[in-house]
Amino acid sequence: MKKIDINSLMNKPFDTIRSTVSGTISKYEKKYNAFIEIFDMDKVTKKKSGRLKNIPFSIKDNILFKDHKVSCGSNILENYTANYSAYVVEKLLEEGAYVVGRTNMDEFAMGSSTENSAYKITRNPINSDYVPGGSSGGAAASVGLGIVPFALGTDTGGSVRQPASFCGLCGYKPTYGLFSRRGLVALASSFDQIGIIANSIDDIALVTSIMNGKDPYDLSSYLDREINEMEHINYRGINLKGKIVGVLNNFDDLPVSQKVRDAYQKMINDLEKINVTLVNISPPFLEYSIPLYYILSTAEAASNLARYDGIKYGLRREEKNYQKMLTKTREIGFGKEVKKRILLGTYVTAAGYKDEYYKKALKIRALMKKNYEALFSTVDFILLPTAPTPPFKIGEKIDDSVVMYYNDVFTVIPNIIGSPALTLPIYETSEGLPIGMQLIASAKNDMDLLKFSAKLMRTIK
Amino acid sequence: MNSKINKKILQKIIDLAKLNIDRTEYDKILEDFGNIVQEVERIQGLSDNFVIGNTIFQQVNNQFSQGKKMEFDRDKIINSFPKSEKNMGLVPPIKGDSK
Repeated sequence: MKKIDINSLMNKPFDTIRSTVSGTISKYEKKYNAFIEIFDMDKVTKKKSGRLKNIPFSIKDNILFKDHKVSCGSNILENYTANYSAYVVEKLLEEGAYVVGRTNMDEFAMGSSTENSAYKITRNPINSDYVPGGSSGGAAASVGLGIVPFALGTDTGGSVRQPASFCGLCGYKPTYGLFSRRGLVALASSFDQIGIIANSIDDIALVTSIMNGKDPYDLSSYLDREINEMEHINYRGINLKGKIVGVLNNFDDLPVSQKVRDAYQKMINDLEKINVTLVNISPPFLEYSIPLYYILSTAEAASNLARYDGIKYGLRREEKNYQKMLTKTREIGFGKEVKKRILLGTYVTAAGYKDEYYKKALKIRALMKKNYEALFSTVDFILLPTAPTPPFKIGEKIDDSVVMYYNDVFTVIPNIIGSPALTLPIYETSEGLPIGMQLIASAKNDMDLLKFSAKLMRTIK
Repeated sequence: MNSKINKKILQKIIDLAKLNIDRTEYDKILEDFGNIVQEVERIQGLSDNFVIGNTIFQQVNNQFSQGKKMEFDRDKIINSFPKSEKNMGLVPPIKGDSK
């Protein structure tokens, strides 16, 4: 598969790019199922200028694009049409880019393999027997197959970084608020962020500079002037030597495969060779991150998903009274994984359990943020594997929820503390399956993270 | 499976969540849900009263991220950590240990 980047498409006529995109889609889409829907490219409004003129991109099926369907990979929103576009989509369209289609995902972004979609299972572009990761598995596949140079996904607990890692791509989750969440269908609002999957950090940086902005309709968003005014990454001013990277003491008590341990050690050796200073750290609460994340995120998800009641949105199953209509609509509209998480979110916030779970998790989250602030006063970045295993086969983990949840063990921390993180496709197994390595920076330090990662990719790959 | 979760509790949660679970899925959901609750229950082992007691981070401020220029001296940085192992500074866990 020929991967493409923004630079290679720059200044090419729309029709040339369109025919390449259509050709790649017809070649691969039937087998890999990256998209839920491919949009009619005859209806694209062409721009005469812009930093992304004629550049195609894909959006995850939970990001709104005006007058187009958005289903979040769920039956309950099967026929829902967006009546406005997401802030970030508007920004990209203004710069001349156009949307190719909406990509497949785990239902309501709940999953790590894209096997939980109500519509289809997406396959990994590197080996079709394997999952592409999730929940933005379709987004990662659309880039990995060479259909688009970049894709928008969403990252609530690693849903951009883990699929990017599984497909051998770069995946970026920015600081909470760097991108407006207007037009992103909410899963867990205090964790959700739109993220970018691409083949290079340069493309991620360009798209980031366009998408950043203070959106009056999302009060958590903020303008980062340095990022906003960045034209491209200036490699000259970046010095890797002198940066301090915190690395893990050991993987005791964590379900990490030997292949990932070996790749991690190799990354440490490679960093030492280029004189990056490494310090051993024990990332605070790492072993508790999964319980903490699942208590808080499901509590928020259960609340956010309460709006799907058969009245305001999407699917409605007619029954003889309101209560029956409500429960039946939700029974047939939601898939198994979504139901499990709604149940967990309801349980941890129910009277009698709330103090024990939800309130306690909130306190620990606050402590965790303080601990990481302290840690980031010593180290510039934290290096962790992106996922505890290389990509796994389709069907391999789908029956064990807890095992599946542990795919997120290294990715949930940045979401809990609001920090930016990037996965870098540097290593692979002897079978050719990619293993991503993740760099985490302190909140609002996205620029340093992008620069350091970009230089690192050029230096050690 | 978690002993806290039985059919009665599960049904109460299903009602609260305005859901309906098909009979064919019920036993599997009960088992999965029990396992998930058992996993999230691990946070009960954490104390939420502890305070960050590690002063290392005040002692070794990262001057690079503060935009200050300094001569780079790896040994100096390593030596500024109270413990080292295999030529690497060793930062002890900064979370409280309730075990």
